[in-house]
Amino acid sequence: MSKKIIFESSEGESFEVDEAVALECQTIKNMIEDDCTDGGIPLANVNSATLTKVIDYCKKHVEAAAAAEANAGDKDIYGANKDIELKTWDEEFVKVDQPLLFDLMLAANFLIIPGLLDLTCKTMMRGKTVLQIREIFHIKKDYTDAEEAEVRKENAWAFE
Amino acid sequence: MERLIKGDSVSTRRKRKTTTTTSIREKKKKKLTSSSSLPYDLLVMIVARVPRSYYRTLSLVSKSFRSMVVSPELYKVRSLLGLTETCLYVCLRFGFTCYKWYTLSKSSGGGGYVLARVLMPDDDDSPRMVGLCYSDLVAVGSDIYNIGVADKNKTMPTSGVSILDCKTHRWRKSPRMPVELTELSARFLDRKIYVLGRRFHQDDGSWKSSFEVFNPNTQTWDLLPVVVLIAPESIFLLTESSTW
Repeated sequence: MSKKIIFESSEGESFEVDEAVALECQTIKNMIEDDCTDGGIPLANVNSATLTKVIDYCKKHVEAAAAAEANAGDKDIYGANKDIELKTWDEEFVKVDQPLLFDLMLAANFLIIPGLLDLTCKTMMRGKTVLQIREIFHIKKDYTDAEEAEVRKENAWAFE
Repeated sequence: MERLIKGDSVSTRRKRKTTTTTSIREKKKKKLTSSSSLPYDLLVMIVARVPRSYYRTLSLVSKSFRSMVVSPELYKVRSLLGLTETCLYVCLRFGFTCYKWYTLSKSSGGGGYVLARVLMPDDDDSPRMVGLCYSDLVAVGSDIYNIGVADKNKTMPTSGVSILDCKTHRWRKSPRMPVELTELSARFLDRKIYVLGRRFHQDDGSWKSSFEVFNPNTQTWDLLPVVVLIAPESIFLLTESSTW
C-alpha cells in the first residue's frame, strides 16, 4: 500500500491522497523529501472546492503518465499515444467559472504544478474582451477617454 | 507553512502594502482569493501565453498592460517557455520621407488579419531613400537589421547599421560596415549577414564593389576577399539557394 499524504484546505477539511499524486506538486515534493509532512499539510490559501479540482488534476496526470509508460510500445509513428486523450481531458477540466479558474491558477502557482499553471494561464484570457479582462483582474481603466481614443487611433488599421 | 511560502514559484510581492493592522494570516488569505489583484509576475505569465498578434488589443486594457506587452520581462518569460512566433513586418514609404511600419495582427472583429501600425519612438533608423540609393532589411531572430542606413543629414555612401528590436519596437545602433556603400543588397545565411554592394569613387569616376559579412553573435564585420570582376550597372540582388 502506498504512503498517504493529508492536505488540509482553508476550511479545515482533510483530503487524503497517494504520495505519488502529492508529488505532482513541487512544493509538496520538497516537503516530503524534507520529511515534514507528518500530521498533514495545511493549505491555508486553497479552499476545498479548488483543492478537490487540484487533486483531480494531479491524479489524472499520474494515471496518464503510468498508462503512457505501460503502453510505451503502443505509440503511433509520431510518438503520440494517450496525449490527445489527456489534452481533451485538460480542455474539459478548465471549463469552469472564472473565479474557480482564478483560484486554480493561484493554487498551481503556489503548489508549483507546472502543467496546471500552464493550462490555467493559457485559458485565462481565451475569448475575453478588454472589459472582461479588466473585470477579471480587477484592473481600473487608467486611460482617460482622450487617452483611450489616442491608443485606439494608434492601433487603427492600415489595411483591413 | 513557512516552507510553502518560500517555495512559491512567482514572487507574490504586492504593489500596495496592506495596512499593518491586518493579521498575517488574513493577508495570506486575501492574497490568494479571486477578489484581490494578481501579482504582476503572474500576470506576465498569463500574457506571455497569449499570441503576439493579440497584444495590440491587450494594450487597451490599461497603461500597465500597454507597457507590459513591450517589456523585456514579458519576452524573457516567453523565451523561457519556448513560445516562439513568426511575425510578418512590413515597411511602407509614403511620399518621399515618411516611413511607416506595420505588423500582421488579428482583426478584433472576426477571424481575419490586418496590417496594424507599429509605433516607434524614433523612425530615423527606418529605411531611407537618398536619391536612388536604398538600404536593405534583414531579419535575424527577433531583430531586423537595416543595413546601410543613411546617417542623419548625410547623403550616400553610408556604412551605418541599425537594428529594430521587434520585441520592444525600438531601434538601436549596430557596428558600422567596414566599407561605405552607395548601393547594396543583404541576406542572412547560415547565421551570418552577407552584404554585397558597390560604391562610386569620385576621384576616378568608377564603381568599386565589395563583399562584407557580419556575424551577429560576435557583432563583428569582415571583408570577404572576393573580387567582383564585373562592375554591374544597377543595384545588386543577393539571393539564396539551397542545395544538398
